[in-house]
Amino acid sequence: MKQLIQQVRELGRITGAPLLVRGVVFVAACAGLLLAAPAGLSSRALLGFVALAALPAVAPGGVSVIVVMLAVVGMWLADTMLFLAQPSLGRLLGTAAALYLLHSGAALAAVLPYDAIVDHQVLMRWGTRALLVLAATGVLTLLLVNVLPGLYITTPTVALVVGLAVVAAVVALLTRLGRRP
Amino acid sequence: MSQPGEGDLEPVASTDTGDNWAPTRALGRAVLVAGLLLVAAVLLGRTDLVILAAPLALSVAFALSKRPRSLPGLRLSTVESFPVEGGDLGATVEVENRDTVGYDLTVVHLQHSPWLRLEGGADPNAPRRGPRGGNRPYVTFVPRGVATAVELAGPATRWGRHWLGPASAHAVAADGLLVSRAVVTGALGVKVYPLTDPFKADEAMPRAAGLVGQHRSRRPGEGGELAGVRQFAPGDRLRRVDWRVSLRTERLHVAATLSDRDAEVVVLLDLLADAGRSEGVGGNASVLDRTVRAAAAIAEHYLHRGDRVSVLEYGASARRLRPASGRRQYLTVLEWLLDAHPSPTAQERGGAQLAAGISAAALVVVLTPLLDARSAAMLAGLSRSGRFVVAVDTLPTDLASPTVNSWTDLSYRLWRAERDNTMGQLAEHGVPVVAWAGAGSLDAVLRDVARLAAAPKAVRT
Repeated sequence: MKQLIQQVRELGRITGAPLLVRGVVFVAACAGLLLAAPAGLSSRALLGFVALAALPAVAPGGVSVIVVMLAVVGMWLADTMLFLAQPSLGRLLGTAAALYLLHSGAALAAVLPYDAIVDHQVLMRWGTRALLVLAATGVLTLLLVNVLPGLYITTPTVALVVGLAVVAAVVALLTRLGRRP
Repeated sequence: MSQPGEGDLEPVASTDTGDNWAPTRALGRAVLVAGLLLVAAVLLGRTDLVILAAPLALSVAFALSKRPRSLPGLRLSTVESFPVEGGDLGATVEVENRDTVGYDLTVVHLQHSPWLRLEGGADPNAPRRGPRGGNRPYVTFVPRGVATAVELAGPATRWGRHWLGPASAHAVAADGLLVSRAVVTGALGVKVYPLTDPFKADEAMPRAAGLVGQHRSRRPGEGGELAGVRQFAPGDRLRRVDWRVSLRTERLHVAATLSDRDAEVVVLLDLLADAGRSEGVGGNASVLDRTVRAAAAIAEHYLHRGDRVSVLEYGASARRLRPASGRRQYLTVLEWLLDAHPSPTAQERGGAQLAAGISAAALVVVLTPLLDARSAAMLAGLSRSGRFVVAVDTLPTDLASPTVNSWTDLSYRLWRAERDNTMGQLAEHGVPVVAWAGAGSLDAVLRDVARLAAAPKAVRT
């Protein structure tokens, strides 16, 4: 009981900047879940999404972030493969942006103490970098849409193997970058 | 702990090893989700999954293309030295980025005594919105090759020796994917001197008792012998203003005189017991607070007048400051008072033993809350030994006893009545007890003591 009272008392110490970042995480998680969800879901399911989206905002350093991200990806796959939905480019870009903002916002919120006094330059710089990444994604999307025949490509076996090798190389590179001293 | 002061910087332990930076959970998350999406994209032949993975992969690749290697440098320093309680104190925590990569942010924690209300942020000129200070962490942006200072300022709300620090900081880089090891500085000691209550005793020092010899002293002070003309300073009496010199120089000057007295004032601090809750300057004061502030005020007053002042402790440690005069003695008294703590002891010296170390001509001002029966016995003993004793009651007037049961109030009143009785008995022994009330507290009793000094003692051992 004492601990609970202490925790409630400490909630009053929360400052604006961490609250704002956690708000961004919540909105991004909500948007990602709602954009990726198949159409025609009940209001109860939507309420469940909102509750699920609150978890990364409350605990940005926990596993709930990756759970929500995988839920977004899973629902996107289910909608496009099971319900055979044809997503628009806007919905696709929106989901990608929400997924990224959820990840990036949670990464920032996890390192910002909830009661910290934050220099506004930190948030400005973070926002600028996020916008740059999203802009680069937009350009890449336009290139892919224009160069490739469509969103669904029937690949021959050779192309599949080459593609998997490229993916493995990308993942290995990212992992190595992360571990390099 | 080192002493505070401008430029008093703590060195920082910083090593350049590979373990300085660790990946956060966000890095593993981004690589996992991006990898899964890309594998699924290739297996299913789906471009949309590549687009979903693109921002994650791009951000990780972009963030990790330039990695920081060294730890941030951290320095803690105080700006102001010798603050008085209620006065402002400044502290600076400087975070330095000695890397070739800018940090996204640096989280700075500064621990300090709760009596130091330090507030601030990275930009002290920024308009203040929302909560500030209160032992909060500070998050600041540190570009590469630049040092950012977090300026903290605020009042020191209580006298004493306080601690400032240690400060710790850890940096975050690569879009929150890498976090550095924490660097920690040492702690600084901050001395906060007691605020002297306004005190004046214009009426009379028992001069008859304090005078020794017929010679003028060589110490500056209140007297008739001209020592020179100097600029007016706070505390100087207006009647001392030398108008001719003041008009000529267009600045107020006073005629400084030599003291024609050689009185010794002994301030005796009863530290056997403490009571009340200290809330710092402006709030409720405990017995110890009142004792220390009153002692500082009395010492300042008499030292300014050219008297010799010594300070004694009635408690376990029984510290003693030798009698001396002048500004240096005032600073020594203040320093001495910083180490005053309640020190109850089972066996304490009686008044007669204490009197052995006190000059017979000295005026003994005893600051006591009269909470312990031994304090009253000590006062009576001092008086019986022929010392001129004035007891100053330092028990706070607004002291309330915590209610335990229905008898609490009655027992408290009984205790107060018994205490009043003791004070009456002390008065009969020739020890006037006066409540501390700042300026003019001692005037009435000093007059009585001066009169007593001229008359035979009422009680003699």
